[in-house]
Amino acid sequence: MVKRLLLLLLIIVVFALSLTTCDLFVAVFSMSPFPGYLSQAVASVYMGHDIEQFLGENYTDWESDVYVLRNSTSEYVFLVVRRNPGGQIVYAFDTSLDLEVSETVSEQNRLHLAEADTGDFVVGRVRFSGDPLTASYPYPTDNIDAWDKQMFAHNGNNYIVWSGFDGSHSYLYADEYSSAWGSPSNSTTTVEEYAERRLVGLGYEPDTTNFGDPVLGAGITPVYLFIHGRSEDGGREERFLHIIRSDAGAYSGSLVAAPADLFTGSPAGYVSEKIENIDDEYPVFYTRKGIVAGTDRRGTFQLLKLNGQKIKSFYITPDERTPIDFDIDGEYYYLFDEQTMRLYKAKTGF
Amino acid sequence: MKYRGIARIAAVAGLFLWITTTLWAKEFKTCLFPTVDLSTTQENSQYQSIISNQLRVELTSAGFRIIPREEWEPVLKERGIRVGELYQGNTAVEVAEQVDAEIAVVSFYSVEERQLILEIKCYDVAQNALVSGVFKTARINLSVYNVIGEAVAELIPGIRLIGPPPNVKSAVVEEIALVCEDEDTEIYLGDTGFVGRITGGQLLLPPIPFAVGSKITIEKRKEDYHDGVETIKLKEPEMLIELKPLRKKAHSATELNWTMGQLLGFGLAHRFYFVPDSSYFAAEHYFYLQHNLADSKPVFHHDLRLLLGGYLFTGPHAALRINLSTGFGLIVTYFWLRDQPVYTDYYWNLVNVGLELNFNKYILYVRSEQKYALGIGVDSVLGRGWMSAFGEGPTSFTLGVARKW
Repeated sequence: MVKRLLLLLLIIVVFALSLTTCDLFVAVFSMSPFPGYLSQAVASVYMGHDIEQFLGENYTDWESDVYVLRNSTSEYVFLVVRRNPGGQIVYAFDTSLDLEVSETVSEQNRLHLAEADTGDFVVGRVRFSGDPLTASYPYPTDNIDAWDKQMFAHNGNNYIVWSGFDGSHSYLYADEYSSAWGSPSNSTTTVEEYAERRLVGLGYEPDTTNFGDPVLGAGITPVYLFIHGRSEDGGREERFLHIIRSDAGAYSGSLVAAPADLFTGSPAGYVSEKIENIDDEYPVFYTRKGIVAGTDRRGTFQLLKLNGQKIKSFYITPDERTPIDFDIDGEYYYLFDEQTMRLYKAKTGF
Repeated sequence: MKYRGIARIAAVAGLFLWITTTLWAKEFKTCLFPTVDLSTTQENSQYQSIISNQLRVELTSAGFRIIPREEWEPVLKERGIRVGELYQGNTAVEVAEQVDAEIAVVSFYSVEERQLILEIKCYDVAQNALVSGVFKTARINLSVYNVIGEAVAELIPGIRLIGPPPNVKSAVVEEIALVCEDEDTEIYLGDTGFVGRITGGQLLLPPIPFAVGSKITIEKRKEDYHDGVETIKLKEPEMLIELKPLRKKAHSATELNWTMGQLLGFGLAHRFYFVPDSSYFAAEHYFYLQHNLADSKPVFHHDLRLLLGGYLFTGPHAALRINLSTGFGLIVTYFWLRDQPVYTDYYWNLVNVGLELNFNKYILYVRSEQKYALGIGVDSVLGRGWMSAFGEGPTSFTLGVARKW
């Protein structure tokens, strides 16, 4: 009798464990009215006192952003809090969420990248350099417009890339800055005619030996452009995403000539299949485990292969605009909860 | 379109044909009494034989079997009845009954100032009831023969036999026994009131002359049970009626439930009915873990709420009931992860709509719940807004079972 019970128990345990590998089972059992990051968190830090001190009593209108940036040696997490009207504060944390340094800025700016040549982190006109980090402001001298734009550094240049739609054509624009952030070289290329296409993310893989691209080949630094589109399908608005792979080398000289060709499917294999049911209000992130995109099911994200195929779904937060960014390895994501004023570091589970 | 009325006419004609042929096919024994002249003079007595003969011919040809005068005349003598009195229905029926006739036909007329007034009546002997009759007037000329013919022709199709009255004795229910598993249940009958109490599992009702085929309404009452009402059709003179058991009044119920979005846990609740099985206060505690079944650290939630609830449309005997409830609650959240705060989220449980399968002791239910986080207090993790595990729509669905006490 006891043996039978033990056998039954063993079968139940094995069955339950096997169910935990089933996406649907996991999705159903991990559903919650509470944000998913609560149970995925490995660390958090309360920033309420600092932020309230920055905002003072006169600012009730504010927003925040989280950026995870990596240079050749280190990775840092930056939290930017912007108050309206005017000014922002940039907090720099190490990956254990220990606050390294912060700097208050009198204007608002969304520049965020590991700078070409120096590897310094430039976030909202604050330059973070050294170990431990020190902050200097203002940098660059000119207030570069980075609102709703994507940026990366490559081969001694800093690039800012963004999209636009004039009612009949969608364009991709790029500014190429030297490491001294002087006057940029500008370039424009047409992405598609008679359709609105929007650049919503950009991933840059600095180390091709770490993550080779089977299409572009070894020794080529890939850039991933994440472009959302909208179209009317039988009166129903359809939102979708394409992942476009490009070579960072294409951004030298004749900037952004390649993406336009890629978007039309030439050469084949550089543009992913159409990824549907995407939340086009959410940015898309590059990690070495795959591309992360928000879905139109609130709070649920998808991990995608470069060809657009889904790897898995996972639930993070029901809030429609929670500041979030992923580390390049895809191990962790960092999220700032404006309700609890906590910055979380959480495991992706990828 | 132009043939639309034909079917109706055909149906009526068919019915008429069926009635007449059925009637005619059966040879009713008929007492045809002589026509009586009620005129003040004898000068128009010739019409007596004309009318009588006409009636005889028509009735005979219609299939009525005329009882010979020799059979009923002795009855007249025996009872001292004159032929001239046979225009009176009662007298005629009385005589006809003596000779086992089924139908009695009387006719009489009078002539005043050359105006004929004719009346023919036909009686169902068993019922002593007039079943057909004609009344005609005519000037005394040749047309009088036509009028007599018309009167006779009109009389015959109108003849209907009512038949013998029902046997009243056999139509009464003689005995009604009630069987019921609820001992000491008081039994009430509609207009009669209290008739007895279930003892030893049964009750023999006192003799009340209910007609077979009638319906009676039985009301059952027992302390701490819901009243029950049953309507029974009395089909037989002796009835054994098995009554349905009464529902015990539930004063409280304990619930065990499971909610979507909170599947790694369970809820316990207790209802306190301030109107048994109808309206209640409930207190509930739902404990659940939040975990993604991978390498996450669990978060613990305790959902505590107070509800006010009740039922719509149906009473405690209904098998399917719709439950509504509303209330307030709070969710206490704490972490396995160190150095995390304890959060408290207050919410308004706007409405819960439940569909319940109602058994004697148990309730099985599925419930849709709508919760709105109030975002009050300093340590709120949800903020203000609808709580939902589905993104949009109801907050959650709950499956549960309740044991009534």
